[in-house]
Amino acid sequence: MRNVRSTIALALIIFFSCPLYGALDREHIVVLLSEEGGAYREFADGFVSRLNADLADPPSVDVVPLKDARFDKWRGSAAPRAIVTVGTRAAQETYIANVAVPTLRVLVARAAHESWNRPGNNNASAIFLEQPWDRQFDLIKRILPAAHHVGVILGPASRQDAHEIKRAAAQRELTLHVREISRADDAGSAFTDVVADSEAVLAIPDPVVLSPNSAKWLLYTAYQRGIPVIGFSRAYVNAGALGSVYTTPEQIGFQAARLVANAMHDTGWTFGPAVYPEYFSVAINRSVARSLRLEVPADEDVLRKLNAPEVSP
Amino acid sequence: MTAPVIGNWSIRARVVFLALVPLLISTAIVGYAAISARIKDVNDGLQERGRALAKHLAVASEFGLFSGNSDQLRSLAQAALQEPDVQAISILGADRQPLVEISEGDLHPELSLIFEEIVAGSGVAAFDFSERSSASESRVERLGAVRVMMSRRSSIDRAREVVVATVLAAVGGALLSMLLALWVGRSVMNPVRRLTGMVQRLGSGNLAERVPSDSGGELGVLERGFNAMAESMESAQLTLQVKVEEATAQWKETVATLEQRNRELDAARDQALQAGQAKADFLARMSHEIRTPINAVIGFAQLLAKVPDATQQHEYAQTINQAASQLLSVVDDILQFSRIESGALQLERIPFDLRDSLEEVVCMLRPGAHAKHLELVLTLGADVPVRLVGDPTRFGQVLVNLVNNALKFTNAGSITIRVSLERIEAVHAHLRVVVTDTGIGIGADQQQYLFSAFSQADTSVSRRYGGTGLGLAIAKRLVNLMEGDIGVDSTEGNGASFRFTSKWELQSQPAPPAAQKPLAGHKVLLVEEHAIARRAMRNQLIDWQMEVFTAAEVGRLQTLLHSAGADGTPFDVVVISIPAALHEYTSVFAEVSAARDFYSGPVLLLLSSESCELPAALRADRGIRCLAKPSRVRTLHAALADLLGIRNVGTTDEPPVENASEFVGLRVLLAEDNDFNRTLITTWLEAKGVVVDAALDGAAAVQRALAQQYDVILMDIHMPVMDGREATRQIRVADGLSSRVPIIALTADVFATERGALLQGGIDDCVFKPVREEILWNAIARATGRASRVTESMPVPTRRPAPEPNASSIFVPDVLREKLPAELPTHRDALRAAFSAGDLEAAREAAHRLCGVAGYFGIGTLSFTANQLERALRQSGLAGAGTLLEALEQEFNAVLKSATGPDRPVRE
Repeated sequence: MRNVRSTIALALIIFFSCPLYGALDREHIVVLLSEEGGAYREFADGFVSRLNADLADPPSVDVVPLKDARFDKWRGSAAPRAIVTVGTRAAQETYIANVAVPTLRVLVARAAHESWNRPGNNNASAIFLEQPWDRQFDLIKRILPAAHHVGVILGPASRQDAHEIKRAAAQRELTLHVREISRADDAGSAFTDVVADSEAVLAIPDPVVLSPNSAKWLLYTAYQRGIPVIGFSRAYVNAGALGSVYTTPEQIGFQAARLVANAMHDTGWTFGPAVYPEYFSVAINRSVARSLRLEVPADEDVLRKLNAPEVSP
Repeated sequence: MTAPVIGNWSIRARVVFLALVPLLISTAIVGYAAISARIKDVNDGLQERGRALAKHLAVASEFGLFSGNSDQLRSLAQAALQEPDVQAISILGADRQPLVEISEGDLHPELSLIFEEIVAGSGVAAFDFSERSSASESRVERLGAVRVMMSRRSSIDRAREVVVATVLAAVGGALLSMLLALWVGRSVMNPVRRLTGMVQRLGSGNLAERVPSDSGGELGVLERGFNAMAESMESAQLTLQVKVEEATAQWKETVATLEQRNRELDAARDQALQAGQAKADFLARMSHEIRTPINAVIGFAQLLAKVPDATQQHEYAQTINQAASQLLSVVDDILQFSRIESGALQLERIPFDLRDSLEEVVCMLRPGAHAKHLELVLTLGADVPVRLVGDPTRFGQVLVNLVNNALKFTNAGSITIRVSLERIEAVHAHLRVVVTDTGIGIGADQQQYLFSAFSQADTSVSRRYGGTGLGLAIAKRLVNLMEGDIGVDSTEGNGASFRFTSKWELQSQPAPPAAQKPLAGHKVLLVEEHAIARRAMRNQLIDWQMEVFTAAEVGRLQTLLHSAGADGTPFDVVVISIPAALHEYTSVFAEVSAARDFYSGPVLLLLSSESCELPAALRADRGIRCLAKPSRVRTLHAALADLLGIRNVGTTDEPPVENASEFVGLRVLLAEDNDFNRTLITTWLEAKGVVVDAALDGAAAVQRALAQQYDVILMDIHMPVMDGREATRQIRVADGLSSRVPIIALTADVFATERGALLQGGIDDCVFKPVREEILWNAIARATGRASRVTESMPVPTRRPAPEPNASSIFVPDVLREKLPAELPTHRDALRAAFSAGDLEAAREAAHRLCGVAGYFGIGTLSFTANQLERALRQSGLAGAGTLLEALEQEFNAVLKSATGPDRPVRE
């Protein structure tokens, strides 16, 4: 009788330990989306598909919208191997939850990422939303080869990049006209001032500098003077900027998948320092170019000259 | 309230009202609406422009506010201030502090509108990711505001202008409309006024009124219509007037006709009343007429039985005879009228001599004229055919009626009978007879009743003159039977002239050869005072080819005779007609006697007397003869011939004398159950030598008839055992055709139907009860062919001084009369028994017997009532005869009561 009981207990232990065994056997990561759909879903789809394509033993991926996030369960043994936060809010909530899991932040601004780092906690890495300054000045050089004076308006969030900006401009022999503002109300006059001195204006996505309204008036002010504006997104090109380099969510997904694969196999689930987007695209508004009577090379040519890496299939 | 007020308005006022009020109301409404709309438009336009300006300025100011470019804002405000009605422009910053404020002129906030528009920044999508962009893009950026003050002064001015213009337009339109309405009203009113005037004049009767139809449209149609209506009315009035006149004329005619009808109806009613009165009078008269002679008969008969003197008895018998004759004539009249009325009377058609018939009547009535000293004159036209075929008896009857009538009503003068020829048609002659008298005459109002039955011109006349009043009614019906007319011309007090026409068949046999004229050539002096009579006789004498001289007065006789004798041409004969008016002839006889001194020739005196009684002096003179005038032509001729000594020309006018022995040896079977009848008839027959066998019933009659040959069978119809019809039938069956014995029925059924039925049943002739002897003899004579006609009107000579039988007073043997009180109750009892037993046939039989018995005894009312009872029983049975039975009982009692008193006449 006593033997029978032992046998049954053993069988039950074996039975219930099987899933645990499976979990231990396969890595488990969570992709936490700030919102359902849109760019977040594009990222998730690109990320998962790339991960499965690149890895022979791809980890299991739970794509979880922020509203379904169970930070309390992602602790201890139930915690995932890594969390990929998509968007500012997901990164922010994960930061606040203080989950002790390696985290990769994507679709997040550099300033935000940097503001959420705790001392002694280097588990959080990121792929910035912004493009590197070199790449943007390269674009200016490629599509406005005659321009030498480039105006920039910096706000509180971007003021820290002033040095880097200047360096990148200087490397390309461009004269940079910088105007810093602290209040949005000053944007108008700053635009006027910068446009008055520049042959091209590089728009910086600082919330104080560029609101939807000021973005319009920047375009208005610049075009009143026949000066093109170089943007930072596909949307701004559509709104009236001459051109921009930008990275799509899918491209970031590819890059994130590569970082996860690398962390799973090579670094023991550490993501290293935050990086700029590796993959990017070029957008040019041909109507604006015609209005400003500018000769702009084809998009493919520009992209090639910017040495953009190709995404392997 | 409004409707009655408007109802009193003229059409013109209504037109103006209708044209103006709706227009003014609509104008006011439209003007108000237009003003409101225009003011609203002005205000809306001001507001629209203000809002639009503020919006545009807000959009334009967006960059200036964004960039804080006050100069730009000011220039924008300046530009906006140039717009009309813009009084002030203010551009406010985000903190609502005015950045630019400019105005123009003095500000009047109470006359201004302020439009404020928020200046909001409209951004562009600068970020690819929604999370980042939405945070900044969702925030609406308010840059400031724009305030525009618009002056309402110009709008108010504009609105005032609109009001003024609209009001002016409305007032102008209203005035124009009023003018138009007045003009239209006048154009409508003038024709209407003309029409109104016309209607008023038409209403006052001037139907010739017209209006000029110069208007157009409906008014023109109305004017023409009014004119047409007026013409129609005028025409209709004329037509109506004509119709009214026609209707009035017709009405008058109808009224006249109605009045005429009413008069006729009144006359008819009066006639009916008079007829009723006449019947009542007639009955009373009949009663009187019948009772009078009956009383005479009874009274004189009683006297006759009492007086022993034969002369006295003869006188009484004559009186009784006259009374009976009078009674006979009355009853004859009634019976004849009844026969005519029932259509039983048929005219005979036998050849006769008209002159004979006329002279027979004249001779018959001549005594009456003599008695009244009347001149009776008969004139017969020379062209009147005398050989005719027809019924001379009825002709004579008519003439007798008329002459009797004339005699009755003429007290002095003459009665003239003129017979003339009206025309001849092939074999027929139409004669006209006029009887003229010089009597009392008849008033025009009474002439119309003359020929009606039961009527006499005057009941007082009938009282005075007697008669049934049926004479002329009978004459009229007889004349009608002769296809003629009868009438009278008379004026009261101047005599009467009755005339009638009649149609006769001419005899086909040639006239006998003309007689010799033995009197031809003799000179005759005719003295006749009456002109017509003188002319008639003169013509007759001339016709005999005598040489005629006439004188009107006897006084001239001597002169004429003397002068003729002196001339040597004395008269061969003198005819002197002595005037009827003379009551005694002494003077005439003296003249004649004196004349005999110088005239010895024959003298014929015509006297108004049947008895030719001459004074002894003249009677001894053989040359003097006398005749009653008027005499028959033949008698006159014979007398003249005799006086002139001419022989073999004489004629006689003596009536045929009955051959009394004619019926001697005749064998008669009398079948009669009634003792009275049987005894009476047997007495009559045996008195003339007839051999009579009696049978008491039909069966015995048949038995005797078969056993023995009779010359005649008298067969009572109502008999016990076997009635007369059956007996006749059996006798006829036994007779065969070889030897047919004549059977004469004795019956009380006076109806034609009964007579026809009897004749068809084998009866040869009928004698109605109560049986009159002469009728019975005539019937026997006809049946046996042994004797000529027995004249009814002439007294039949008898062998005994007993009253002659007539219609109502029949000779009844004493042996029978004594049985009357015992006999009558027997029949009454039989009648009562039959009624009690409900035996209709027995009742009829008893009534029939009673009728016969009463008839024989002259109890007319009893006989009549019994006869009525018998008829009622035949028609209605026992139930319908109760009243008559009671009446019969009363009559019965009265008769019995009378019969017991021997000295009293039988009561009628």
